[in-house]
Amino acid sequence: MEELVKELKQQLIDELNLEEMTPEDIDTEAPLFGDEGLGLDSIDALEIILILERNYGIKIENPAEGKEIFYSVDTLARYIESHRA
Amino acid sequence: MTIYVTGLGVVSAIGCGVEENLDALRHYRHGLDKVSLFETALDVPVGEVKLDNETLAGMLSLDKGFPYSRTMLLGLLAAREACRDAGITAGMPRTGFISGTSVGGMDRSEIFYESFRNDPEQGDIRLTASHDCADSTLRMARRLGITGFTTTISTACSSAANAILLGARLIRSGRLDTVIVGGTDALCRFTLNGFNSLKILDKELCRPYDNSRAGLNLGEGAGYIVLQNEKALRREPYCCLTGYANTNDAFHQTGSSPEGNGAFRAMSEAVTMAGITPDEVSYVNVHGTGTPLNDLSESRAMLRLFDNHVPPFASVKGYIGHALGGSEGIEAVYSALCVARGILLPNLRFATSIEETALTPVVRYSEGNPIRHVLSNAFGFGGNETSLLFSRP
Amino acid sequence: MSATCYIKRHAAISPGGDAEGKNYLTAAEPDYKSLIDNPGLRRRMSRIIKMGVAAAQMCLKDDIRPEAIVTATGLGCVGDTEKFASQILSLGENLLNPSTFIQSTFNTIGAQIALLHKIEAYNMTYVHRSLSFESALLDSLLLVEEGRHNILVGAIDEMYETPYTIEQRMGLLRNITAGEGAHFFLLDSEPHDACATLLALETGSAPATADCFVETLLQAKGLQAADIDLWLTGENGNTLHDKPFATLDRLVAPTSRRLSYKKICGEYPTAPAAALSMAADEIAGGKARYALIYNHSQEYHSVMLCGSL
Repeated sequence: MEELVKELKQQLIDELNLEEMTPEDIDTEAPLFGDEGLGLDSIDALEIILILERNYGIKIENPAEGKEIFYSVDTLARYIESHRA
Repeated sequence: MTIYVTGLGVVSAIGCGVEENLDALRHYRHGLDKVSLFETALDVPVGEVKLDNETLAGMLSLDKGFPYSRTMLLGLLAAREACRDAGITAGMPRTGFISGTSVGGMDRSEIFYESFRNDPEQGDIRLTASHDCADSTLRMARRLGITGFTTTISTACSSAANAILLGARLIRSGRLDTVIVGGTDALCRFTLNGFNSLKILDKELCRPYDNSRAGLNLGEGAGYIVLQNEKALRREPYCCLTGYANTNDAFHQTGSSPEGNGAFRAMSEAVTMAGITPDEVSYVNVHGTGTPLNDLSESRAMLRLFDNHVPPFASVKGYIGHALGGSEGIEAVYSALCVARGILLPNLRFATSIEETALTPVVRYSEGNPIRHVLSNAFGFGGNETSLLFSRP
Repeated sequence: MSATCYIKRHAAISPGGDAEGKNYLTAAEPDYKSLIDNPGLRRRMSRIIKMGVAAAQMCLKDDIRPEAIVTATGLGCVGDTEKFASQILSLGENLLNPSTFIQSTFNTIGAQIALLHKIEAYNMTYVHRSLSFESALLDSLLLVEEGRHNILVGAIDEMYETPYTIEQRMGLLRNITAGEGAHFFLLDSEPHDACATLLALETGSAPATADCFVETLLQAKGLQAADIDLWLTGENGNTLHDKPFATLDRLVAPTSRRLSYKKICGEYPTAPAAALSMAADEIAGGKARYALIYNHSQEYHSVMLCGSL
């Protein structure tokens, strides 16, 4: 799980162009979206869907169902753990 | 200064020319179907113009062997009809042409790029000559014999609306007497995939303003109208363009603000410019793409503008899909016809009102209604929001 | 009705005339982090978008709120367009990155400036080949006439390997050095803090000759050719293209300076914006009273005339 969290953070940094951020800068529990956490938006949500599908073979058809899954790196990692092909 | 609408020309998924379009609208005949004009792995309905490039070139007496962009061919067909309708002749003084397009000649350049990408020495170089947005405009202007001010606008889905707005301002400022304005866009793999990557394409036929709406269907086509001042007028006008406004939502690169702030301001400014109050608007041709977000925020903007008493409204995208840069060209033609003939257009496939706003669009076609003012909306990426107001002379 | 239009500020991100071994000129880019201080928006911006937004930011410092944003570009965000087109082919129309598609839209730069400052005003984009910037400038003049203040108008085009190769193959670059640049201007009807006046803008397709085109324009402004002490002309090195400029020779007074501005910025659709920026600099520095900019591409000609305050 710890490996997965680290790996995910790096993928978020690369795919979402989070300039000057290192995996250590991202709080595993903090919200990814909205003003408090990383401040990601709806386009980032689509990019995260691509990360899941390309790298973990997990398909999320409806962006709306991503809301809880994408809450934080932690929720995202848990979802991947339980759905990994 | 009064700005008259004196000529109309349109090509869309439901027909070529004003009469064919009207006939389809009257008989609830939509033009959405599977992609047939180019190769794609995407299985989604689209609103294609049912004529291939060769046929279009033939109709325009152009060299069938030359790789004209489809954007140009569709545009010229519509613009020629508008010019003939208004009696515009080649070389007319103080006459301009302003065209909107979102992708220009991408339908040709994406074919070129397939070979070029593998080997930069490969690919028919003639196919890239029409890539830039100005190519279609300049070719059309040349064919139409327009020698006055010519330009091209590209603000995504509101491109044609903004071409109309600029044309009106150029007449009002005294720089032009006549201007042909509108827009054109051909469907291509690039745009289809772009909207697919945003996950806003409905795999079924789109259902604008319905609670079950799940996205848009892309379309293609062109629409142009002729704007003239009194001095240039040669025929009975269809209507007048009495208001127009462009604002920016400044909320998000693609999504509209939940409350439709930019849309509200565009509509409100267009109405104010015409010197009328919102309750005098008879009908609204809404942008109504069918995406969950657009229709909800546009509904909220209307509820606010009309103080909860929203006049009859409908989206025509259930007929023709979203023709992007060409959409407001086509819809301006429809809006002008609505004013001239008192038409209320039906919003296809509406069954249940959007839960949050409970608005019901027009569902029956009718003519001879007492219509004075028609408000028409076009909203694009980058929060680009334009509203036009067409009125009885 | 015609309001006087003043250039209050201008900013450039442009090449310095040296190709540094490359086939084309590229802009000297600033440190974007300090200019575009919103990391959330900046992270998604491609090179051309950063260039455009940064140039606009230089014009908007000190919290200036423009009442309109007008942009011009010949080819728009070509890099993003190519990236997405390439993805369609490599990934087979599946799992494509939406960000790239969104950025390929021609009005992205104008929209990003609006987003960055929450500017809800008029926002327009012109894409009309060699007359893109002139179209944007005409719109800006209309906006000034219509009573708006602080019009932000700019032009952006980028050059890199793919467009260079294609233009080369199309035969558009014979003896020509391609270039790029981002230029923004803040225009107003008020002379306060202005550096130059935009006196005239004229475009035409196939005018009789360049010299007559200029003379007619000068006459309308009550000026003579000898009054122009700086001529910025758009020769690019191609004999056929440069021919119309030769007719201007007889108008240039012996005491006036003449500069082929494309030697510095290279040839690209919105290059006249670079010339306007140079004119504003020269006038602001007291090195010229009147500057005239002449350009053409195929049969499309344009003239811009600037003066001191």
